[in-house]
Amino acid sequence: MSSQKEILKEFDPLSTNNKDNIQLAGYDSKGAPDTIETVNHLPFQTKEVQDGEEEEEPFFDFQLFVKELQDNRSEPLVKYIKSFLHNFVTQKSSWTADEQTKLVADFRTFIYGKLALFEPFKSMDGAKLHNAQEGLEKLIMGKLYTRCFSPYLLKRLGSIENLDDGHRKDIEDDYKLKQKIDEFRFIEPDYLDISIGNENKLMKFVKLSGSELNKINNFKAPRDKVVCLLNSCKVIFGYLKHYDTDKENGADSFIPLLIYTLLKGSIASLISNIRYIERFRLEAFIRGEEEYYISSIEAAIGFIINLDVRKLSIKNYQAYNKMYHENKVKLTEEEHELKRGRIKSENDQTSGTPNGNAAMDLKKHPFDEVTNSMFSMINDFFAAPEQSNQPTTLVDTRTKTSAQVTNATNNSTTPVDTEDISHLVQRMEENENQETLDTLQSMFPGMDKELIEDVCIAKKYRIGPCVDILLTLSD
Amino acid sequence: MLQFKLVLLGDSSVGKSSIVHRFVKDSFDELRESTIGAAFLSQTIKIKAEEQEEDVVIKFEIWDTAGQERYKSLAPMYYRNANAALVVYDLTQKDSLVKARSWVEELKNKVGDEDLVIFLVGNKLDLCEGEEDLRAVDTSEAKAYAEEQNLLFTEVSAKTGQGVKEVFRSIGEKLYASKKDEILAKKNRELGNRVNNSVDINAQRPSTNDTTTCCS
Repeated sequence: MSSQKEILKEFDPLSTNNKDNIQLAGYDSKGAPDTIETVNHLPFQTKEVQDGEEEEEPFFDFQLFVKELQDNRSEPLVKYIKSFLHNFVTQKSSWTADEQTKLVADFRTFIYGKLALFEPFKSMDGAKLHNAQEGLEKLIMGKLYTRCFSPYLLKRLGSIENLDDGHRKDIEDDYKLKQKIDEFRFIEPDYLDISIGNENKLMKFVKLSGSELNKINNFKAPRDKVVCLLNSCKVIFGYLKHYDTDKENGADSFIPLLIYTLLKGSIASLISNIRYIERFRLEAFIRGEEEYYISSIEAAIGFIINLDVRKLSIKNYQAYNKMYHENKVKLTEEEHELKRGRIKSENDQTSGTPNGNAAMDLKKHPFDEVTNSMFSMINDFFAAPEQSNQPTTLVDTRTKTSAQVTNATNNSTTPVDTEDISHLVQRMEENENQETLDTLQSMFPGMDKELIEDVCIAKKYRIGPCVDILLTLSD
Repeated sequence: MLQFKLVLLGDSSVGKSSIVHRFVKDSFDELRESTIGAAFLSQTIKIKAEEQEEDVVIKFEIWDTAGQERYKSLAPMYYRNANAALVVYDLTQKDSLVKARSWVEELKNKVGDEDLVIFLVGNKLDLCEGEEDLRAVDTSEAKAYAEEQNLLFTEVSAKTGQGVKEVFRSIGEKLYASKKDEILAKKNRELGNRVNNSVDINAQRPSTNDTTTCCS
């Protein structure tokens, strides 16, 4: 038991770093009681839920869940998960999108039911049980990501013809969207009836919102992706709250600005991401505000896909036509350049894919690699030798536990240097934080540098809440 | 607590968002949490219900839509699964009632009557008083239309707050009344399930208990 804990410590980034934003996308939507006092909050702190069914605070701590899962008493759960993952990847080389959705949904129902049978989950309720359910979703989808997220699946299968209809449509729609965005990327805010309160600020916020949204490709878990969507929308909200001419304009201002952000943000694989969320995020987990913002992004995508000159508000057609054609010319040039570049670097092109972006994107995310190796370590831990897929008898369970521990100990000391991983995680976190700090400083040039940093620390470098507070302070 | 989704529809200058902001502001003392987002708001209220000793708590999740004509095609993303729709027009703009009527028609075609409570609301009542009366839509005209279409109807002022709370209260009451049977049946079912579940757990208990003892 104690050795088991030791092993766990090694892939628990919290043991070397006290910040809980290893889950990065952690956010507090509204009214989280975390002002300054959360700076040093314990990672395992739970929030009091006043009303069992109406727990508003998105509480999520993946490390906590992993620890709970390492508890000997929950070993049958680990076996169910292992067995499911094993079958998912071995029974068929690729499932259709619909099959995947059903498989995950069915297993989820099954395993959530099993939580009620095994400690430490059995005695949980409210936020803690919810955390475990979230954790399961993240664990499962983290492992199955490369088989379920269309751009990755495309990479795996090599060519778009090898994809089933559902996944192929994701890729095709991503391509359609990208083409439309390229076609109209030059448009000005007033073409969409956006009132420009403060142009300089508007551009900065749009850029920030776009880069927040782009982070959706850095995460595997549906929840983390949703959080990226939300953060992006909150940045827009921050702008509207403080600079819009009419602060109660609501969706009349919000929707056009969201569309504008998508046009300017060159966000890779957005449709694949949305469909992935729809398929694998448990519907019951999507709360009111999240659902609203997801629908809004879908609506904005729909608007762009069907965008043509008649949908724009154009005062000077001559100027518009000029810009439109200049952009076309530029696009053709860019395309040529891209082709030349492709011929030069003959290797690692995803052959026949219209969406090179997504494939290129796969390489840019070292952080995910770390998460990945942590996942695989967790999985190594799971991967004890096993004769049967079901936890049958008690004696059996016990034998396996000790076998598992030995096995895991061996694994953890051999191929992966855990010390390195912890450092890497920490370094990347620091880089990311520095980046956030730089962005915020450029957005609020008149504000004291240290003050901005204090706000960042207090809000754990979550961009949405940070922007919100800084706006209030700058008023 | 009961939760209802309410969608806001209406032309861009009719002040539909202001009505909701007024509602949320004026209800701040009513009950705990509310969310004020750019275009999403939530607010809980209490209503008195017949045959119930305690007040019924209702949470509205309010979805705002973009009112400009060019964004009209996005509306279905917003009103799907809505329990109620607030269709707002401007009492001082004749055209805005025409737009409101087209929203009502669309809702009736796409969502269907039984599933949706539609409330027709004329805003900017404060501009229709005193000497400088700017009213362009007669109460009787809108009222007749609402009756013919079987809609709830009232005139409000988001600016002064006149009539605003009552809109949400009556939507809450109407929704509660229409869903009451369903809600009670569900409650009973859940109670039944809970009993069954605990039986299930008990049945399994011996084996689980053994596992625990064995491993710890």
